[in-house]
Amino acid sequence: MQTTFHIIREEFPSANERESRAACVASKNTHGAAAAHASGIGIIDFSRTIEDTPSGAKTVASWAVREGEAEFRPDFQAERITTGELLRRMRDEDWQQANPHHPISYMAQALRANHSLGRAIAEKKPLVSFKRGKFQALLTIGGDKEKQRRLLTRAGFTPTEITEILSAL
Amino acid sequence: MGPADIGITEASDTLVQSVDIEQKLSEVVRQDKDGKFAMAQAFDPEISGSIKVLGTTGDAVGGDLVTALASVAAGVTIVKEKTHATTQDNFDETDLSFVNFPGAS
Repeated sequence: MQTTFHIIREEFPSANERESRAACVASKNTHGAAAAHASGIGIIDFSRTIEDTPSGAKTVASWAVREGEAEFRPDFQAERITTGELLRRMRDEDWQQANPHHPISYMAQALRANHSLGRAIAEKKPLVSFKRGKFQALLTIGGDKEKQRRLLTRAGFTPTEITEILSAL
Repeated sequence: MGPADIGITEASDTLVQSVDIEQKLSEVVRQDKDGKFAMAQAFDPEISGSIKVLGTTGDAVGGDLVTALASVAAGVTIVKEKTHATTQDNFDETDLSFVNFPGAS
């Protein structure tokens, strides 16, 4: 069965784990993926990879969202409401379910999705890229060393190189 | 709504074994005002390709497919075929063939 992805890539100049994690959470692409989710379009996955390049280390992030269509049917009367009423509606999920096409309901859904997605992105371990010829090993920080050793061996790294790589992860 | 139901999977150790891609450009041949053929214009790049990734046995999908795919196929990507097998030396091997439209929105 065919699956259609919409993949967004973004590069960050820092390879620092904390900095790149914060940058990914704050990225407008995270906001976009959260908005897609709130609009009924599923998120397929997110990944963050630290790469060493001749021009220095960098972080590459990618968001994969299912390709599809979002339908918006705004259905509300122009109105002026107080700050208190705005805050009440933002808290009131029953009101939002009763008024699903009101902009306040859109905002509430998008903010909740962004919070959940940001937390999931922050919790997901980054991958570190090691290239050898045509092979690219993508290894998790803090991952299973024995599994990583098998993959690195398959890629043709020497035992000494593997020991160095695994001690750095 | 929590992290588990927003679609993000756990990171998985992966070995990208091979990537084969072929880029095509669609061309439009225009006619000038005299009906003669004018300069062709290339647009809508399309990349066909396949990627083979290895994960260690027991990984749910044979490695981190999205990361491997994203490295070569940002934009709109149709995964046409996906096969998954366990190799004799106990790796999970996944082959994907895809068509990628990097300029699509």
